Amino acid sequence: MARVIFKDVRKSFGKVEVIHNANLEIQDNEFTVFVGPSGCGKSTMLRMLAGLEDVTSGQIFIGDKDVTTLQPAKRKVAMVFQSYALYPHMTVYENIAFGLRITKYRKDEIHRRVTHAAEILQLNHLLDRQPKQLSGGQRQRVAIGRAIIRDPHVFLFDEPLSNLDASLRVQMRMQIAKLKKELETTMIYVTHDQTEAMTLADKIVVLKDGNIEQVGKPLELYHHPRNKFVASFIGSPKMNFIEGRISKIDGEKVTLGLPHDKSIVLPVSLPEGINLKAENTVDLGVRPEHITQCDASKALFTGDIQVIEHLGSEILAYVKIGWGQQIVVRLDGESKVKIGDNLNLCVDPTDSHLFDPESGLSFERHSKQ
Amino acid sequence: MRTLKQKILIYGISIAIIIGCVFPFYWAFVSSIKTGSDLFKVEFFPANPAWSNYLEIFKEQPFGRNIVNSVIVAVGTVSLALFLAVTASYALGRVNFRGRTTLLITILSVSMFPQVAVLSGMFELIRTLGLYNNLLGLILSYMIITLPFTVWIMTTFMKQLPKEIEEAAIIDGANTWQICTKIFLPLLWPALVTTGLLAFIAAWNEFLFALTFTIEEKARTVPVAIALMTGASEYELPWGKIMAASVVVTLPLIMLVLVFQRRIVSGLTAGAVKG
Repeated sequence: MARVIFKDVRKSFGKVEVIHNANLEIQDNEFTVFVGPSGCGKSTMLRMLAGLEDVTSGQIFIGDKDVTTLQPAKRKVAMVFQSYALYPHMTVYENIAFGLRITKYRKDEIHRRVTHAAEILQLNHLLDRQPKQLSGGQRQRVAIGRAIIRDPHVFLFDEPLSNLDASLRVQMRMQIAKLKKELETTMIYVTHDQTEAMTLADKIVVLKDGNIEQVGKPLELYHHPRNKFVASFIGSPKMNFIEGRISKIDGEKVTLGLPHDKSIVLPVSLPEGINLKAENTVDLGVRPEHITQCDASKALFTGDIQVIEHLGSEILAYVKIGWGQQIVVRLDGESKVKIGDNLNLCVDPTDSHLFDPESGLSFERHSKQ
Repeated sequence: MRTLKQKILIYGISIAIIIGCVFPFYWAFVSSIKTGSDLFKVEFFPANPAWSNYLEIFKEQPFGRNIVNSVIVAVGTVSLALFLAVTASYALGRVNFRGRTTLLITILSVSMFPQVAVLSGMFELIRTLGLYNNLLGLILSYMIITLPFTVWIMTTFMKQLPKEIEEAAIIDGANTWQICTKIFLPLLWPALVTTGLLAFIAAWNEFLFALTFTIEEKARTVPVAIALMTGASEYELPWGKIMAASVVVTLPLIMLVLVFQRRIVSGLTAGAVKG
């Protein structure tokens, strides 16, 4: 129900600046995911928005209101914590109702809202229980219920699924996706798990060391990462980076020399402000799912399999190619490969990325939308 | 498997310790139901129990009044000390400010001074405030003595409470007072009982201040009243009555400990407040 804007926001803990000049605009009803490795400042961003941390400089807006110095309760935000943070001495009902009770809502109104929230989250039969009698997933649902009931303008999730085991996590992820449809509220979700980010987000914000690296739709980030960090962070298993030498730059095409005298022509052009010439080293980026087996005559890489990981539906093979480099290849689960096999591998040039090794910036791709 | 020898050793030592702890109290009880020269006979089970001592202590002096005084002083001290300790521990345990550690150490160092050392200063304070021979004076001085350890224990417990619970309450719109009373107090209940009981016992047993700051019989608390009991002549110490009085004032403490026993145990293991 409200836009969120970060304007020139900086945050320091003592002398250490952890958020460097963040500018970000989140649209109404948008599900935005802050993603990044630990210590990148994603939780700090969220906590500043919630009002649990002061902003060192800059402004934060919710709707059209400057909330930079406003108290948390007055910001119309609700937050779900990683550790659930339920009140251990209260029942589920009391936990959910707490926020309304202290703001002196009428009893029947509280009851109506709690029942409604419990219905959405399938908590009806648990309302009399104490938090310690609940499983992790149930506790997290109570925590979400506590957030829903406040009818917030902005929903904040701080790594809500990190404490759950794998299967429960997938289940809860689906429930949050459902919730997003039902509630139609601006939601901001912090995670270090790129799968959660990709599956839930309308918009992903990738952070690293207190800088916003890229903002975009999930597929935009997947197909057009702005730099090497985003490219390696989004997608699983990680993108392969292979060192190559530019042999020719021709407008919108770059020809690249690779180990074993192979070469590839990529439909990309130099990023702005980057000046590279023939003979310069660059990083070719290829996702494991974009590498296929093919004839030796057409192969871009050849090499022996070092390690094989069987995942059932697919196989991850670690192949040693020339110049002392190793790449990961995703193969069909049925393929009969074993350690030591020699593989001939092809890559579609339109699926490939190119990065300036110095700045990490990616070359502009002309193939994918 | 424990051998028979080890078992005998364990039970033997346990029994010895129990006898060591309980026997003085038992002896006090036995003595309290003897009169006259019976007192000087060694009898574990008196043949002619005499309960007159229990009646006499209430008849010959305002002992009932003394007990009421003690209750007022102990309850007053506990409530005042706990209230201040909880509010102080919120600041000391959950708010970051400069000099927090220094303040905590200063509070602790207050309890280093022996009572005798602060006695004259305290006396001046009580006189200045006009609280001499007044129960309020005792409550005030006991509170000063009990505050350091109540603050310390409560601060330790307060620090253990997860930060997220407080933050969740902040987001839910609770102010500091509501966080304290609605979230922290219920979680700190076991700690409150434990520290409250310790403070109660300390106040109940205190002698030196009670002796110094009161003058009249009806303003005295029980420890002083018992110590100043006199017999028919100044050369006679009424042991029977003294023992009867001791038994009477020990009972409330035993009752309290039994009632709150479970709370104390859970107070000692109160780390289990994980959401």
